[in-house]
Amino acid sequence: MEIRSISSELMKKGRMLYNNFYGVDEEDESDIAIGSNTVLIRRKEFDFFRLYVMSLDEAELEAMLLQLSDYDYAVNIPSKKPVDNWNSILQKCGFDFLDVYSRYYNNNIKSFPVNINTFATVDEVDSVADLLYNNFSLYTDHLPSKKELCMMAANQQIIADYKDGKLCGVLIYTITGNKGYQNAWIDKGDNGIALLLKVKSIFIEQGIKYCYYWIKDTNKDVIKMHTMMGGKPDGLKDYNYLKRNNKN
Amino acid sequence: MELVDFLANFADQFDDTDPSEITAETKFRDLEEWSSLTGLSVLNMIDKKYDVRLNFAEFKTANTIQELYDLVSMYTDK
Repeated sequence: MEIRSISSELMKKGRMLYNNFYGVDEEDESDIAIGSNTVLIRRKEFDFFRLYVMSLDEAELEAMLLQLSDYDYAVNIPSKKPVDNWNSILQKCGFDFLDVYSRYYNNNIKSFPVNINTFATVDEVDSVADLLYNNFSLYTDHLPSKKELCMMAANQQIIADYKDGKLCGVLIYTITGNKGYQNAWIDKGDNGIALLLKVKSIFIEQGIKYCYYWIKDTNKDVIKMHTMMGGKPDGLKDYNYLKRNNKN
Repeated sequence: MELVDFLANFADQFDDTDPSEITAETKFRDLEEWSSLTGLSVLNMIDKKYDVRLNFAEFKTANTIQELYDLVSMYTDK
């Protein structure tokens, strides 16, 4: 049974109390647990599962979440409103709060001339992955898989910086229609700003009207940089929780 | 464009650096507070105050504030 139809069946029964399945792509590689008034969907990411929840029944949801103990489970709740109800039930069921991210947008994209014009190739995907996976959080940063990185490299979506011939920085972006998304940005050298200016130049060249990116709320310097470049929070936040495997 | 104003505008981009440390001869990349953030802030200041969008590679060639001032002057004097 397709997730969409399960979801619409559940919605017919009453008001959804918990739902973080908005806008998620339908995928075959999902496991589904169905209760009377609750559906849990889990998808493998790296060595943990990301969990999606739809429930009309708090007690049933609590019982089902308490049973999760075989792997690490990450849950993220994108919301423009406070998530006190989520916080309460997740913590009761053994999830720890990790971080909150805010989405920023920029509808007046500006840049400075920049000479950097290097993109990571498919052959460099392992180095790109090392850079990302060793410096960002697999649980909260929604990092592309190696397979996705290969496609992004082939499409020149990974702007790259090198130091002494070695990859030291990347800025990964995607474009959908007239919107640009900055997916990940890291530079261990001294050219991080050049990567940022380059992606802005690409967006301007391609007629992108809006660009979006997520920033961890505690990352004050990056918030300042993006604010300086015209970025503004749009009110959407992403609250992240993790339940660790009992066997660890 | 006056150097004295440029120095004051440059110093404004720092939160913790004593303005007396900001002179024409200062090697600004050696300042303790210098970072990517202050670099971007200086580029923005030059854009807003002097209407010059410096090429990032050019910007990186300047070591002292005098050199940066001279670079910006090349565009404002045109």
